[in-house]
Amino acid sequence: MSQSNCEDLHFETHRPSQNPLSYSFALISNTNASQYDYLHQQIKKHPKFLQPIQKPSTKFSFSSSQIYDMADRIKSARSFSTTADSSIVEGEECFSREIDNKSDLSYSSIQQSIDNRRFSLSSLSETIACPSCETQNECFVTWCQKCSVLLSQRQEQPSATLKLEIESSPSAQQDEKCEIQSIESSDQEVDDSAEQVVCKSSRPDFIPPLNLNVLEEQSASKAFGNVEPALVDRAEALEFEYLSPKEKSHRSLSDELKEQLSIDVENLNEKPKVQIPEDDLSISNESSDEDDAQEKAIEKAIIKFREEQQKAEEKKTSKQLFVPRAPQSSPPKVREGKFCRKRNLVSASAAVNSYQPKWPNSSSIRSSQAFIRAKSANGRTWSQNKSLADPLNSMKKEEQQIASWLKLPDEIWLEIIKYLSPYSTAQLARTCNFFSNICKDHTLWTNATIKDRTVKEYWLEEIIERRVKNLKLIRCKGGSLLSGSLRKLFTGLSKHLTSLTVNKCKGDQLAGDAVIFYCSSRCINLKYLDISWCGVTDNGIEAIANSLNKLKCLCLNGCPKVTDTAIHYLLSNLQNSLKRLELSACFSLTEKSAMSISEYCPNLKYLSLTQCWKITDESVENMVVKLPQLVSVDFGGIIKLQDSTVELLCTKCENIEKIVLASCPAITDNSLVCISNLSPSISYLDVSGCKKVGNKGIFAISRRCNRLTYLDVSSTGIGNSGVCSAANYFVKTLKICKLNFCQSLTMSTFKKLISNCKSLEKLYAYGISSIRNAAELHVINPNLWIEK
Amino acid sequence: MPSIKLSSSDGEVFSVEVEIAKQSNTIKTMLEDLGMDEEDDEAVPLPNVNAAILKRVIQWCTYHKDDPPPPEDDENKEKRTDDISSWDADFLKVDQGTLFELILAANYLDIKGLLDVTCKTVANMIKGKSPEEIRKTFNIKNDFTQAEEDQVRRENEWCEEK
Repeated sequence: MSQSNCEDLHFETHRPSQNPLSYSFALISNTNASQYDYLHQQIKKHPKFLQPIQKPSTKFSFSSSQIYDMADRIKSARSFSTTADSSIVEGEECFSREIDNKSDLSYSSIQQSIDNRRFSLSSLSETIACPSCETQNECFVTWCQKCSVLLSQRQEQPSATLKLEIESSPSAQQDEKCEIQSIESSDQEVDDSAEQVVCKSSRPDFIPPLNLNVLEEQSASKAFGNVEPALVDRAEALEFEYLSPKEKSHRSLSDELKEQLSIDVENLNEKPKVQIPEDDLSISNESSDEDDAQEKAIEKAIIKFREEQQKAEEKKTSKQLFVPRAPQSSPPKVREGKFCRKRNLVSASAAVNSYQPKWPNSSSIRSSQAFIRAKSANGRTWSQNKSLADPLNSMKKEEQQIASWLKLPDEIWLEIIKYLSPYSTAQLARTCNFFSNICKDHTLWTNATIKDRTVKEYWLEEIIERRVKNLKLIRCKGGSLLSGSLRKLFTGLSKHLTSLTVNKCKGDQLAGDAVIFYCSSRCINLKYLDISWCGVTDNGIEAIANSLNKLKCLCLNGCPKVTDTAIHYLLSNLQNSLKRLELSACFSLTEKSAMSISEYCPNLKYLSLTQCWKITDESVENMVVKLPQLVSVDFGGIIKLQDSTVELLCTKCENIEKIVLASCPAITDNSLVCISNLSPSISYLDVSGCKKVGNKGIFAISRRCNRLTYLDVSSTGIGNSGVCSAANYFVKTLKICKLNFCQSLTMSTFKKLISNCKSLEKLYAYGISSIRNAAELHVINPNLWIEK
Repeated sequence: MPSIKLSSSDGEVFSVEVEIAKQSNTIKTMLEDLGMDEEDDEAVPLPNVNAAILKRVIQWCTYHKDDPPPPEDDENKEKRTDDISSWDADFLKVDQGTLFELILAANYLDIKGLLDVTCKTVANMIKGKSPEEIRKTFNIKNDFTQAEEDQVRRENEWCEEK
């Protein structure tokens, strides 16, 4: 089987005309040296496949350095020891969860696959049916042995039950043998040592001979009920490595030693020991002198390495808490086997290769978290496994129980969680450790809103930890906050916060000026600041003016204490930057503020001066002339506003889309005629409370303003004919229509409006006596929301 | 219509119109940047997708072949999950394992539309549920100690208002 399998693998990599897909695939699937080297050559021959592809998100965009890094990972797979059998499946979970979200997805997924592969080398024994020819394959085989069909990628692999034995040759050093066996209690250590042997074989040191024997794999595995043909295959593949020039395998020995020392091998101590019958040794002893020399070197290396390992183990023990202990092994068994020297060494290195998943140091913390997650998520309790057979069985069982959500990598869960509301995210976070951690990811918390609640001290810490960029506190109470808490909050968010809304909040710590003081000196990147209805005074305005010169939007609605002087100082400091300014209900402001605005804010697009009743018509006139970029104006409640100013506004501001003239008693139908003539692209119009507006204005608007989506003509003189005209023209656009307190309107008018304007979503009709039964209107458009 | 062949991880080969296959940015990039010959008889191997899933992915791509390209993600815009078309909703009435496999395949093949709609479907499975209900839905084991559970509750208290 092994031979055909190898060929298949080669066949796959033998297609230079193909795209990098086959290479990445080959890289994943070939962890042995010959395949790797072949691949390496291919990579050198075909550099064009290694050029990064333009789009970074592409799955196959590797730079050559990345390829080499992957290659290193494959190589290093041979120089690390495995943890115990029982941790293997969990190990796989660890690595499948280990991807760094920030790294290039394709790259990390390849690394991940490589890591998985390493783990899968020593997992369970199972077979897999080929989908096309139904041959039973060992599940580690990637291609069907018979028909070369590709089998599944993420298969578990048979447990490597390679047994090693160390026995002194008949003539020499019985003592040492004992000593060695007492220290050397694990197969794995022998494996490691054997690897060292391969590397050190050229060393001239001589020591009384000691045979390193490896049981023939198949017989050993048969005896254990764990058929393990993988190793034969691997051994043959690795023969290549051993037999090729020694330099190849003599790669930086010292580095490897260090690496090995840093790896835990403790868990393998309890694996079964196997005695080899004496007669087998005769075969081994037929080896050449050169081989004897190698053996001696091997032996020395083993001893030395063992001592070092012991030390390392002692150091390491404390760090390995999350690695489950290997179960107690079955008692030692005596096995027969044929031996040939070459086979021994090759098998030893094969064992090393197949037995040593790497436990990357760099990611050990993450791995351990993932490990715990995987473990707990599947309810594994390894400590209960008492025998060698049990953990294998239980691994099989538990593997079936692996919850399917674990299949998804972190970054996909992040994408999913981005669709959740903060509330749902919080619920998800409370399910288990994995989601608790992932739900803290700051990319999920760009926006955070707290509404109608009493803010608690420790909430702020969570907000800081999540690196919120856009924080909104609406109608919150800050009474229980300590004095330093806001300082801490804004210090923590200093670089991240770009938008802050503190609206209608109460309590000492959330009072407008306090918020401004703390955030203005720290959050220098703030672009949007809304401190409305929080009692901001001139002191707060001054603090904004002094520090926050990147502001683009400033909302200071409902600050009656703010004076013209402060606004002048503020705007002169924020010259030209502001795009939006809201000063609604700042009752103290007069025409001086209007002059400041016109002087310092030429780029203003959104302006709201609602209820700033002291502002005069002349100053608004001056203002609109100097603010040609205005898109939206709210002049509601500026009682002195005249039709002529509206006309000027429509003339000067070509892009105007939203005009609010609510409760401006001097406004008449002429304003609407001007708007319809000069700004037909207007989409939002509010003339509620303008008693002088009547049917004539609505005629004009409805005829020309065919993009209007919002119309408020509440409490105006509009009559049935006006609304009917609107009903005739606003067939497709109008979504919200407010007709409150327009007493003269009749039921038939409403019916006409609703049946004509299919796009209408909301209709406001307070205080209209003619609507007795809204159900009649609902019949016409069941989706319409009627406020009555 | 020119077509290409796609080979699933288990070796099944599917012949797909190039225009349909190009909904996968992975395949599209491969065809464009690597100048793969569209007449090439060789199948493109997709080692991360098995036949059952690939078949479904192709089914989805065939139905959506005339869709306009999905809009770029807007960070500030609140993401909706209630805009799944009825065809997609029916298409995604599958068991969880298949759904997750589809997500992985969509991610691997870089098919944004399919990834979005599958992620939305999973999000909808979470929405409006209590932690215990979510655990039941996905077979998640509660691995918190009592202290941890209290801690996590505290950590998330600030955003727990509906």
